[in-house]
Amino acid sequence: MRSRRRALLSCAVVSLALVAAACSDVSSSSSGGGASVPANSDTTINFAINPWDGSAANVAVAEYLLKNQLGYSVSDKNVNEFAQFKQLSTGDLDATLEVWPSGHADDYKNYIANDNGVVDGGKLGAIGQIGWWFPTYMLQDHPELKTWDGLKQDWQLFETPNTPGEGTILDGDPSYVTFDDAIAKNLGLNMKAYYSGSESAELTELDTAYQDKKPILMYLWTPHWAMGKYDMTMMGLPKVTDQCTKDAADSPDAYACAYPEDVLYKAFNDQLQTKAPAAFAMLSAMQWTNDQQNTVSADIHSGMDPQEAAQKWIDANPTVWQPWVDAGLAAQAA
Amino acid sequence: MAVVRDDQSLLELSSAAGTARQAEHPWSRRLIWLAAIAALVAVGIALFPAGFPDGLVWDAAKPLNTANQWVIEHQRTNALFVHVLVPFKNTINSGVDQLTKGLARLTWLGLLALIVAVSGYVAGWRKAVVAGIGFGAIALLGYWADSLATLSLILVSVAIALVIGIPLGILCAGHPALEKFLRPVLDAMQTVPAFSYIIVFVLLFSGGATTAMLATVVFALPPAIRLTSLGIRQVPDDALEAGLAFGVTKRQLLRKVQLPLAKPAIMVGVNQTIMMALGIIVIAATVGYPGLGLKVLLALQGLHVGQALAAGLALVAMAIVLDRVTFGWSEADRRRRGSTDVHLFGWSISRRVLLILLAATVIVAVVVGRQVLRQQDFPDTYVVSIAPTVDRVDESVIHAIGHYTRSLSDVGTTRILTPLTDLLTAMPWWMVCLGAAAAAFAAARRWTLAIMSFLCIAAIGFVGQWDNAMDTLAQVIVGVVVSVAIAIPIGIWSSRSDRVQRILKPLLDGMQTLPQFVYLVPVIALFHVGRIPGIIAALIYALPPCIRLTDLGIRQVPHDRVEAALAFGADERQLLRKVQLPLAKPSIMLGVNQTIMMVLSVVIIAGLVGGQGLGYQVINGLSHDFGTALVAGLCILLLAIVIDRITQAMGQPAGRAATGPHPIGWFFGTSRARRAAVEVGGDEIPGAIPAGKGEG
Repeated sequence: MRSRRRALLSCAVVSLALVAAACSDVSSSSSGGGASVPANSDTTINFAINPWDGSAANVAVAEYLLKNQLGYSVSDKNVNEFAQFKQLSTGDLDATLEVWPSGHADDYKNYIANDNGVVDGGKLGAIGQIGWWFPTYMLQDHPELKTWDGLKQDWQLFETPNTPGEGTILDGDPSYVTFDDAIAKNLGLNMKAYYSGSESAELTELDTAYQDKKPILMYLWTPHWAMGKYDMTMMGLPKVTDQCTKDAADSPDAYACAYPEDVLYKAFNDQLQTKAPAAFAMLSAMQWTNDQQNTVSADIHSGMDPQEAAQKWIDANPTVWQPWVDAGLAAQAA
Repeated sequence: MAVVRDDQSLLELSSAAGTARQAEHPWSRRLIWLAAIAALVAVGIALFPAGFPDGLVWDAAKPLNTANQWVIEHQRTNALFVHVLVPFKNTINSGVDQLTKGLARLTWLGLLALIVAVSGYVAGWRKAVVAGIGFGAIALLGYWADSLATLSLILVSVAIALVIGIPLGILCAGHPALEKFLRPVLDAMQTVPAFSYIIVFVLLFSGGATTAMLATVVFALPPAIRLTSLGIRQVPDDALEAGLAFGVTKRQLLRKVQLPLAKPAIMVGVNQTIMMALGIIVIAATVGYPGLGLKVLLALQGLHVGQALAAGLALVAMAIVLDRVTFGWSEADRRRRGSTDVHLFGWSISRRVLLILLAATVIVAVVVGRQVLRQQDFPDTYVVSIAPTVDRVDESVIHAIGHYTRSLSDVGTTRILTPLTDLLTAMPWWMVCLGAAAAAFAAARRWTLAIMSFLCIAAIGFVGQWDNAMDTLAQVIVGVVVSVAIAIPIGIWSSRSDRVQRILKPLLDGMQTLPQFVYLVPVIALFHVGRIPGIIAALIYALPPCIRLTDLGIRQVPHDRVEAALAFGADERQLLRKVQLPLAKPSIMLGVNQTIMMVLSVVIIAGLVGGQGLGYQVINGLSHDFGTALVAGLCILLLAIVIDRITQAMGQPAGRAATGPHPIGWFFGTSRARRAAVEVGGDEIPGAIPAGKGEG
């Protein structure tokens, strides 16, 4: 009995001590802010970060400004660009800053147009362009590759064991919308899309080919960090017409044009404006160019912490982001 | 299990002799068979339409996609979602989050002290050292903060898996009908690629901790159930009778007799559950769950090989520590047998005193961490960054051998894979199904298995995945052939030398624990995007079980048979070919079976590196064709079931029913399996679990 009482007593002491130790404060990130920063820190804005550096760049800059200029708390989640809509609609996420319209027509219809919890947050400012890209060094010996006609005679350059008898168009992540097979067939080219299954597979292949100056034709897009590392040229495809846009929606197998420009847009949870009017106003006003985003992306890609990369750009470009913050402050006061 | 019992020795010796006689002219007979099959196949291809007719295909994906659509539209209003699913999700999400934050609040020093203390208390001081080194490595690599999220996911998932699994296992032990019903379900849970069913959870719960936890529980539950059931069923009858003779109730019997005696097996179950949970961490990261898995994924996306390896190594370290500690716990528990004293370096202290001492140490560490060091995360200045070195080594290796490996890959694709795939897709579907049925019958001599094989393969065609399945099948065949061709010689070599076995052990453990994602980028750089990288990834994952089981099988050949053969004047080669290999055949066949299952489980990875086939269909469907992803996953399951049953049957001597339980410890290979067999059966090593003893 005595030993049991002793054991109980020691357990009580142990737990009290643990609780006491846990309660005391310890170094964590200090809540910064000058005198003029509004007190919004009990509201947390949740961002979606999609698996590409541009998305991380957008979110890093937005988070930095929301925290330091508007006093909000921020958090982010890594989420695939399709899964994010569901979380936006339920409120698990508040904002995503870069949606590519060409891949998300269904999501726009299901979630935004049908008022299923998500609202259009306006343009991001950056313009996306998907296309068939190849290394510029190929133009030296094959200048005809500048446009798709060149493939009629040069398809064999791109033949690989994966597509015997046809040239390979290397595709990546299957979640990215592609019309490559349709374009090749409808333009009468002896090319076939080969799906590598992931963006990293596609880019590794590019790296290998680029180092040996071998031919490669791939589905790629700008803005992308690879554009900063490799000198790539986009192959000319037939201009986008209204018929093309119609085909993309109704009969993708008939598509025979270049990929349309992707006017990247933002999407928010429909309660964001009520929950955090200043954040909503700032994020709606946020717009920047491909080059600006690429600067921050390149830093992130080379290993810089996203917040540091954001701070570096923010310190250097006050004129760009001040209007966004002003819009936020105006909504705060209102 | 590959345990050779004495009463079979005569039978096996004579069958080995019989085989030796047949071996006089085996090739002529085999050649005739092969020629006949080739002729049949050629005729079939020539006369009948290739593959699976479109008219018979049923669009299985459509109903599932409709369901997805329905959920999107109703998830915010439907009562089930609002009152059940969403609160459930929020509870789990915040629970896991709080646990992670709690672990962080202990500071790195405090938590490290806690882990070392707990490991030492339950598993002995040696395991405490292992734990210290392992988690110390995680801290030094710079992934301490990330490992906390992973650790809390593991803890919560394993806790839930055990809470569900152990009672279910107890039920199964008492009701064999339930066990029989559950067996295919459990098989499915372990074979259907996690990517397939994770979609269902994403549909219901969005991405995040809940989805990750549920996927982990699904994957990790089977060992808990199987091993609990096995343990309870193995309780010796005389112990049960003794208990009943004393007049205990059924519940008392369970609590006082069955569970304590089943404890070793249950602990192996806990160990395996944890290993399974760790195996799925990177997949949990694909739904956005933070931690080590996500670090691997993000590093991969930027092609940062060094960072991916560092994060992967942190994961391996965690896996090794958890594995050794939980396994050590079950062994130490057995050794202790209820004693209350601990003998440490010549002193003897009561366990209670030890507990208080350790608790005090941990508290001191926490306090030091919080008040003195004032740092929750491991200080950056002491982090050893291995990423740049790894990147440089990676680049030089690729530069040096890349040309050769890439040419090899091209030749392999053009000369072997493409023709094989073309052959399989050119064959009429019913011919492939008949082939499977014929193989099943030849292996097991049972009509039911043959019919089931036919139906399963045909079903793949019915749901519209025929060509993809043939593509995958070709890759699996090549992968398995190459694996076995490499593994068996290495296994033989390892069986001859203890030193080789000791050196191989951590290497093989690493090959099975390191997330495949980590080495995908170098593999693609070495072998081109295509079908070969997937096969290489499968090779790395599938070699360990085959090597281990070959080693085990040969080592288990009883010495007297080896001596008898040597007495007859056999040289080493004859000894190997005529005595050791035939007698090791069950174990080797088990190794082949495991190799095939491992290769199949990596099919998804192949889809990420250009392997196309069913793996790609799952990946493809993940984002916008959820129905196809599930269907493709089920097809992988069907292929796995058929191949598994056929190869398991091939491993048994003719006439034996092929209904063996799924080998325990298959995740980590035979050292585990053997140890587990000892734990629960105790008939191999003298002085093992004496029946009837236990905590009274």
